[in-house]
Amino acid sequence: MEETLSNCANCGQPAMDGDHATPLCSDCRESFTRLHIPVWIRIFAGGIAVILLFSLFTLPRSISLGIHLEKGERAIKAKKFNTAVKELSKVLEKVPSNIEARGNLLIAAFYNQDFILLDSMYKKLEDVNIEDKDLYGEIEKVMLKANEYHGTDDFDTLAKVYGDEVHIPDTALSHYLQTHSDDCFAAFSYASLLYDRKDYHRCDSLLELALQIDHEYIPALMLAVNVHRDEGDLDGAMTYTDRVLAINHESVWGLSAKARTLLRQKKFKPGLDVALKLYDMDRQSPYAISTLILAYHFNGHTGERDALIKKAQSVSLDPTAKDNLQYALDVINNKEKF
Amino acid sequence: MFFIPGFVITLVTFPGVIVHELAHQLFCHYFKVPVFKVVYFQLGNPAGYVLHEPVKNKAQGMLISVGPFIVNTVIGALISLPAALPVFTFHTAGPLDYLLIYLGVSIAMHAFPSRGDANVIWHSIKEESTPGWVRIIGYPVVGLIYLGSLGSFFWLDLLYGVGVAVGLPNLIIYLLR
Repeated sequence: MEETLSNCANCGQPAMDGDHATPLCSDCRESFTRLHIPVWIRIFAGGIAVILLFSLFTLPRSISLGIHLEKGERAIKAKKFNTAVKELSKVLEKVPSNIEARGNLLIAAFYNQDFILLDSMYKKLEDVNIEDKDLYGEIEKVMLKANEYHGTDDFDTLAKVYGDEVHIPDTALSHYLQTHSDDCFAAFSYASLLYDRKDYHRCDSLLELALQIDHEYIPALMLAVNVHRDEGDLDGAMTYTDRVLAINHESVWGLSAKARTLLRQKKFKPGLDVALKLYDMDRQSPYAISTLILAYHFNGHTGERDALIKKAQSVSLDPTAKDNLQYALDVINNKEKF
Repeated sequence: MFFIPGFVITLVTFPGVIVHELAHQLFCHYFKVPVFKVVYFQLGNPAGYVLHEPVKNKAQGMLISVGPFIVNTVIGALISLPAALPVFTFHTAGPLDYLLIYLGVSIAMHAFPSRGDANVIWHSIKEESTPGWVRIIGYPVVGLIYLGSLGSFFWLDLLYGVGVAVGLPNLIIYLLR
């Protein structure tokens, strides 16, 4: 079959050979396949490219903040409030006004029993409109619980009669509790007084009363751990420790109490494991440091123990940290019974 | 459902139209297909088009038609990604963030190939010489484009743009957390 050569559809010159849908000479084909972009489109594309570069430059920061917020919110749901504080604090470092981070940090602060942080977040959220209904509900729930940590007006009136709550006579407290059977704070306050007097039996009964009013009343659970430990009921102490940890899986106090209870039960290796987990989670906590020192001590890891003591002593310690470290040192030196 | 004349939407989201046509042109250039005319933007129907030589290689032809879907989606997503969180999550956005979101959504919502693009693929894959695998991919693609075109009446293109600009950052964070 004879091939027919057409003329170029653009310029009329003989079209080049080749299997193309449009007959074009080589010059025209080359010209049409070249990239012709008008100047204004080049400027537009250049603008888009600049914006794209800017976006790529700022993307990691934005994604990183989003991840911290997501991790913080997930940690709250998983009751890992220590992690939540760390993640949400990172968000607030960069975006101090973020309502979600503040709200969730308030919740985490409560379950960590960090009332300075709770108060600070509450003040920042006081006049803010929280659109997230779930978050608002959770904050409200936490603030209602936090109210139980303060005396009611009636209890404050009673305390004023005797100067302060420590000086309220037992009879007045008993009478008050009969007429205010839902006052968790009053029951706990009375239990604390009885604990100081080593009246563990009555203290325990009052703690049970407080826990009947609010089964997640953390100070009552913590005091119950101490009561049972002091009575030598280590299994009982562990039960209350687990209840603290059920509320906050990362409670520094709870993990510390668990590690120490395990050490007292002569379960040295599990005690060390919990102490190490706690220390990894919070290396600044005086509880975590002193607990790990004790765990190293009872596991015979004297090298690690002494290194940690040296490290703890090398930094300036606040009074709580000093007391904690001193307690650990006294146990090691047999000055304190463990 | 409220009605906004198409030319208004086109006018407001003109960056997406330009990127769409530019993507067609770039794919043509990549496959060395002669381009006879490019209208990057006009107030009419279509809002832009690229007139190029019919492509004998069916796969290349399909890629030229769906090229904007890839280019507009990727560019729209990358532009809006860093701004989506300040705007929708942190509520700390400044004017630049809103500009990025506007550009991202505008570009991503014009990712869908037009009915004209679908017609080109349709006529191309109907030919006897079209390999079977190109038909297997081509027919669903044409179907999806028509569906997308139909869906644009219900703001599907805008939903896609918003999904790319807003949904994608949250998906990335969910996967990276």
